[in-house]
Amino acid sequence: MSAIVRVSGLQKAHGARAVLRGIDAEVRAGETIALVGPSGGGKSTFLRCLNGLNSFDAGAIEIAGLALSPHTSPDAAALLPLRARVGMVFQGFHLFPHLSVLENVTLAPVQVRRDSPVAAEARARSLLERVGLGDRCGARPSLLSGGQQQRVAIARALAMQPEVLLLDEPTSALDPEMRGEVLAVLRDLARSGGTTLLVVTHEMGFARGVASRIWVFDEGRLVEDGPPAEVCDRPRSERARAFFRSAT
Amino acid sequence: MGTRVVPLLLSVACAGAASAGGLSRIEQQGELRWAGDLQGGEPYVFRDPRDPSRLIGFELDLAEALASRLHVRQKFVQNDWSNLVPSLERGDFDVILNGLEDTSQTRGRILLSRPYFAFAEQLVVRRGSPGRSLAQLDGHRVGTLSSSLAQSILREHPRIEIVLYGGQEEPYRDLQLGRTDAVLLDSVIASRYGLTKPDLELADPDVARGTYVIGLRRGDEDLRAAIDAALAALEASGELSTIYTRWRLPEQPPQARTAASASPAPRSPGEDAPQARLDLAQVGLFLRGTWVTLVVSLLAMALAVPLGLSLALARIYGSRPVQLAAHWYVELFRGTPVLLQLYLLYYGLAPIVHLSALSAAILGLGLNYGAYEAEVHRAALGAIPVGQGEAAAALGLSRAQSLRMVLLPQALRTALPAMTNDLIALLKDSSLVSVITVVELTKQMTITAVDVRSWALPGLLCAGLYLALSYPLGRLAARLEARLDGAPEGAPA
Repeated sequence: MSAIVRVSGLQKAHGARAVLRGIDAEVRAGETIALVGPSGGGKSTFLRCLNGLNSFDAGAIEIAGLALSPHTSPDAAALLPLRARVGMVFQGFHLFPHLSVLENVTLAPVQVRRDSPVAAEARARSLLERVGLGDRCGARPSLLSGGQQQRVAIARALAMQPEVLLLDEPTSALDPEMRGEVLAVLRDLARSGGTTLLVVTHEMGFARGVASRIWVFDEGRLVEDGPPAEVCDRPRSERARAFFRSAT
Repeated sequence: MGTRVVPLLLSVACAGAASAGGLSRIEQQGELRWAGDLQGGEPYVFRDPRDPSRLIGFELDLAEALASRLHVRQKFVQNDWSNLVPSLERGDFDVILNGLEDTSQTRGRILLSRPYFAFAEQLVVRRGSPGRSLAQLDGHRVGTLSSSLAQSILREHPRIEIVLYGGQEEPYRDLQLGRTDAVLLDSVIASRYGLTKPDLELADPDVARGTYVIGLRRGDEDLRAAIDAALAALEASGELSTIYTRWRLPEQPPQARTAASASPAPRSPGEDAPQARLDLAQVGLFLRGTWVTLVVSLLAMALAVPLGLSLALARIYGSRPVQLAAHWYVELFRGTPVLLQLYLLYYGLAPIVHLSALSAAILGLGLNYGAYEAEVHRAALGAIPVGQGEAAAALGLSRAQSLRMVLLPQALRTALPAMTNDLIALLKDSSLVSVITVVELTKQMTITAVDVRSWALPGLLCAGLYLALSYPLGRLAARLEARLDGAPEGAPA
């Protein structure tokens, strides 16, 4: 299978502080990548560069067949086709509070992809069914628990049928008992294989059990890249060894 | 002396707390406090253009002459012209000496001296204009000063639309601009302010007669006697006519002049008008004023909200020059009085943009409140979490779509309580538009209060009507808030 994400020489700095110091990586379609590593290692920034929410200073990104060049403003109209093919789920859910659950899920398909409202709604209902929220279509997000909100956010992202789905710490803002329901949805999604997933996570059990590969980020570098068993049990770098010691 | 005044004091409970008659009070004070409104300007009493710390005018000269006859000093007290009578009753000064006209309304309330000047009410029109008498002006707009004798004359012509002003320059300016078809004012004002304009002419030099008198508090009969005597002496000695000649006042109508020498004042047309009551007709006028207030406020707000929203968006998303322009718009309109803005819009811009009073009122308030709405919307947009915009962007929504469908609906919800507040404030601020001749609720209240000689009942009625407007608006906004919060469909299914 060909690469659906190809990153080369990616660099980014916040002022004098380098956040990404030259990342080279490739993802094949259908893979699930778990991005792990200590806080401040650059994994979230890397993820946000992939759909242009963060600009980068040097290097190149090719994702879902579209190229992204350095210094592209996050508001640039050129990013719109890319965003339609690359979805994102945030740590803080960011559901639209003035819209119902169903409207949150149908908004982008109707407005961006110009789906008919009827088709968009049918698809939204089946997605909400899939994440276990078929009965909450009419509710406002504020009436849902955190875990339910995050499942709606996943359905909202999936409604655009993205080729790549970026998930930025999707369970970090949740109580332990709600993490399970979100992780179950993600596990199911990874197994179905239709969507390429890149998940920034601290859930090592999930990374180990679900990811096809684990990437360890540290100080702006990708220090490990391999199958879970290999990376977790026999990390090559001292930094990764230290991380896994503290993480388990 | 004290015993002579006691029955008088008892007969009028409202006559202030003077322990002795007016004359002895003035002698004790050593000064005669006389009130006028400097806004009345030339030639009555006004600031000397060469030395603004000094007052001049024929009434100042008259006050000097009277005071010296009474062996006291004169002291001028500034007071808004239309409220001279209530202020006199409150005891803020001793006499009114400022073009006070002898009408049945004033005579019913306070003591009046013998006339010191007689005038004719004169009708001024644009040169060559067809309507040359009040009879021909039925269905037309005629300007005059608020609560003047001319106003009560005009009210006897129910088909004439009366346009009321606070100063004597504006009626003639609006006549020049075609906003009115004639101005009825006394000969002193007409000769100074109207006939000096080349495009205006005298249509009827003698519509009616009237006199200027000095107003005194009830209970000050002895002071009135002293002032009447002093006026008679000034007239006999020729001092009075010297003053009038020095100030180039118009010729006094001869009949009125002879009448002025007699003690009872000449009858003026307003005299026969019975005192108005707060009846159904007056309530009807109040309802009309309420309607004007509501229309002006709602239309001004309908202008202010989109304007404010555009300004807020310009300040957040605009290029640097656009941001600066929006910033300075807000500073300018928020940092200067709305009254001044209304004046400039209606009178200042009149040679360039010819606005009707109502449209100037709506535009002026709308432009002003737009500045406030801009800050409300800017704060509301700023209060939306960054993640909302990022989530919209990540879904592929363009910036315009994100604004329209994600950010603005949330901002409007946040801004709603502040906007409701502003609308209610605007309802009340709309009373300011009376300075540009729009008769809205508060102006109607002051007109009625003068007519029925009471502020209490019209004031309460006016307050009740404002509440009747603002309370439902507040409830409506609360219901809208609840609906935007998703109360109906948010209920557990």
